[in-house]
Amino acid sequence: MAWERTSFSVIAVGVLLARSARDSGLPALALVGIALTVFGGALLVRAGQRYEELRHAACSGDQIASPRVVRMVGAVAVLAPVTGLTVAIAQWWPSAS
Amino acid sequence: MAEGSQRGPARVIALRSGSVLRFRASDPQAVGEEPDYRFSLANERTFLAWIRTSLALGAGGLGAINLIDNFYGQELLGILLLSLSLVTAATSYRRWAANESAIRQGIPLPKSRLPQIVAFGTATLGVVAAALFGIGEL
Repeated sequence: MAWERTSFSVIAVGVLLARSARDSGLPALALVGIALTVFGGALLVRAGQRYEELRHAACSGDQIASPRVVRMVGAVAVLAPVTGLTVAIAQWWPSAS
Repeated sequence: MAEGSQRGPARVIALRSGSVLRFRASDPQAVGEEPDYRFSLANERTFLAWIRTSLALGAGGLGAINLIDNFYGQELLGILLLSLSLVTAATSYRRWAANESAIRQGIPLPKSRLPQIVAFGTATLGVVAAALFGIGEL
């Protein structure tokens, strides 16, 4: 469920980012928003797979932690505000100067 | 103590009480031994909660910039929210890795400033938003 909630959050931010970048006239960054939305969808699918992996690992005593997926989600979560900051500064800078 | 446990996060923790100094977190699976799976899962859930917090702050920042109209300093507020979102996301993985290493080694969890940063940052931004609203109304 935690993975699913995270997936929905990534999708929501991706949509918001795509819209913000489009309104700011930055279509390249809008693609980042779309990519985030797609990633959120993929994460949702992964959440179901993760549940099965955990169930199996808990029964068999295998390794539970998955650093690779955690790193990926962490990297995407950093990408979102970096892109948002780029959009925000691109919007704010012309009016400030 | 397990072989190799003095490398990576264990050594970093020994350098400064509870804090992680290096920018890039070591692989937590390189130290210690497999813990009770409930602790790993709880650590993972905590990480995801921080990620969702970061995304919510980011969404708030984007919303402040694009969704609200006629709000004095909306760009500044949006930039500050997005900055806090970036800090939260950037430190959440390190926190997960440091906690996972500590759990695997059976040592106390390292101290983290992330809760203080997010709490203080969010409260400050609330005050900033209220101040900007007041200035805009004048």
